[in-house]
Amino acid sequence: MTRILNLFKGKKETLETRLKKIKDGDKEEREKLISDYQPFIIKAITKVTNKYIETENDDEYSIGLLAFNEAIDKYDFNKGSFLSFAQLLIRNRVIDFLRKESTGQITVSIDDDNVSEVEVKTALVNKDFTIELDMKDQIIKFQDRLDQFGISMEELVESSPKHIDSRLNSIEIAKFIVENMDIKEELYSKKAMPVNVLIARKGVSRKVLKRNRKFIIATVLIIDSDSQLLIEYINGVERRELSGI
Amino acid sequence: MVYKGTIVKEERNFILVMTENCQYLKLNKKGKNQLGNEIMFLDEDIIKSKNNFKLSYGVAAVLVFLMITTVLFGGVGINTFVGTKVYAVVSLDINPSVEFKIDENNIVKEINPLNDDGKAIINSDMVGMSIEDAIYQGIENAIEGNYINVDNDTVLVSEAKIEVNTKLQISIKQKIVEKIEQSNSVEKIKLVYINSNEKSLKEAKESNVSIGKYELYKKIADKNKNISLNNIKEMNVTEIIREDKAITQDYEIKMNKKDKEEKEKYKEKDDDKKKDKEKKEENDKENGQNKGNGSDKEIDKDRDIDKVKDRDKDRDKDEDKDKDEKEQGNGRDDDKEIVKEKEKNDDKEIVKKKEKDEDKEIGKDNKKNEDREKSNGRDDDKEKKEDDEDDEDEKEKVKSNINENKKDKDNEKEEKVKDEEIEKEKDKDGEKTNSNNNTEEKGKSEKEDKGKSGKKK
Repeated sequence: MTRILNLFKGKKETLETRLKKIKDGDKEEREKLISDYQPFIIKAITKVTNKYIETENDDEYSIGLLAFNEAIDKYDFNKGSFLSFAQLLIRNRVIDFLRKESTGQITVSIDDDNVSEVEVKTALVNKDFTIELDMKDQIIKFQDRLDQFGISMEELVESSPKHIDSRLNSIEIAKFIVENMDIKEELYSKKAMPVNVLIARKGVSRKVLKRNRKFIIATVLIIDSDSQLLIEYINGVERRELSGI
Repeated sequence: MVYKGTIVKEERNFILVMTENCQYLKLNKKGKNQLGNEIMFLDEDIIKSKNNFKLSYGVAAVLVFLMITTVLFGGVGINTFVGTKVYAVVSLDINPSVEFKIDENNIVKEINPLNDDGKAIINSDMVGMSIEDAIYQGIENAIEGNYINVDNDTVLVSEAKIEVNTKLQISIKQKIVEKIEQSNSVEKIKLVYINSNEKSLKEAKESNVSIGKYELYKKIADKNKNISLNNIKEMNVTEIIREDKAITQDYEIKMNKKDKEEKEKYKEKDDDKKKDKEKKEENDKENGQNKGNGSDKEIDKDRDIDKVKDRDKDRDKDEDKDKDEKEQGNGRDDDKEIVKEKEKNDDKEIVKKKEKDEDKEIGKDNKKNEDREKSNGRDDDKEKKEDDEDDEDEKEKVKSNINENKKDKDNEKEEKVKDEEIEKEKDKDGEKTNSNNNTEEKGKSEKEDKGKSGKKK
């Protein structure tokens, strides 16, 4: 009977039972819950910061994860829903962090210890800043080169293959182009895909080339650039796909 | 699911990212994110442009399809839900306006009331009836609902064929006319029948008015630009026709015995007009003659209509003569009396016209003399006015005489009979006027005067 009831009550019941499990000391379940509720955490953080969380130099995300973890610990089953409690806690922690961060930068103490701390911080910030600039520069270059082929970023969004298999296929074609200098040169000089050569040498269908033309060209441009992050994305896709993620 | 991606483009309302799965996505813009930074985002942030496009294309396609079907089919009224073809649309206006869609066998397939009153005169039984039965029942319902009465006796029927089929056209009109003629309960109505076409039907549909009223509007609007389609919509048919009797003349089919004689006259006059109509009218005439003679009053009405037309045309010419006469007579004491007198005079004049087709001047003199005799007891002023009016009428009559010359000998005979009757009436009228009893005159000429007096008032 209770089983049937549980079925009807659905997720909420499950969340509570999961929380009980965690409180009883199930560490694995805790990790699982946190990863399951990642989108929730991100959403809660974004509500405060009102911008996308940047993975590299943002501490908000880890603050949010910590706050969620804390919420699990502090949650009292008698006090309303867990999610609203967790959201409140994340919000408070993130706000606290942001306030600390801004005040910390403004108040520069004459204290020796503090001075050294500030120096370290600025060094870190500077490093991030150069990386950021570099990244930005690379992307602007990427856009320029796309422009030369008459492709805009918006078009890429609309015409890039949605299915992972066709994306992988296109990436493979792009890699083939980069690996063969003659084909790459032809692409760059003519500003058009050497369709016939590819059909002859790679054995792909004209339809695939035509349909994914923009995506393939963009991928060639990325691979042939020094934008490590984007190259990493492209390489990562295959790796992740191979490892089954 | 949490995505990670690098911002590759920033726009005012969105950002573009390349995800770690090598997908290019459009995201809602939030706050300040640097170009080239890797961000985390959720499904809800993604603007699904491609899907949206597909959706909107689909919606657009459906809309276009609907529009085409409405224009091609709904607009013309071809398709019904059953899928049977509609061959013609017949509208019935009294002031209740109803539209019937009929198939090739003249069976009503769909009924559309075009106003609230229209709902009162239809019932669902009409679907499946033949068109003449449906129209007849509509008229009966209108009589029961007091939409048709002494003051409001004109029924406008109009048809527009969607599939051109001449047999159909003739038979609808004939059937409706026959049906009403045969009936006992529907007697005193004026039937106006206008043939319309697909184009007018479309235009009428656009302005949400019945075809019949739209046709009337087109005809009236030519002469009287003050009348708007909205006015027409709200007026009942009798009122519209009162606006300009001449307009409906050609289309009138009178159901009463008296009226049939009038039809005959019209037919003769309108020789040049559509042959189909003439044929029908001839049939009507024969029927009418068999049934009996028209009453004097109705004849007078017809005459009045003719006069109205003639007046409009001839006013300019008449004005010169009128001026001279007007100088003699001043101050009209009783407009109503004058109107009545005019009408009476008109009747007399008509008689005279027929008699004096060849000699206009003689006719005028005679009329004047008669008028003077009639109005012996009246004031001099009135006599003068009457004379003026008579002169105008005489001129008109002369013109109308020319038209009348075309008429058959039979008609002339009938007219003579009528004239004699009219003369008798005149004598009566004269007596009445002598005794200064205007009310009696009014009573006699009530029907005749309605149109004119309404205008003049």
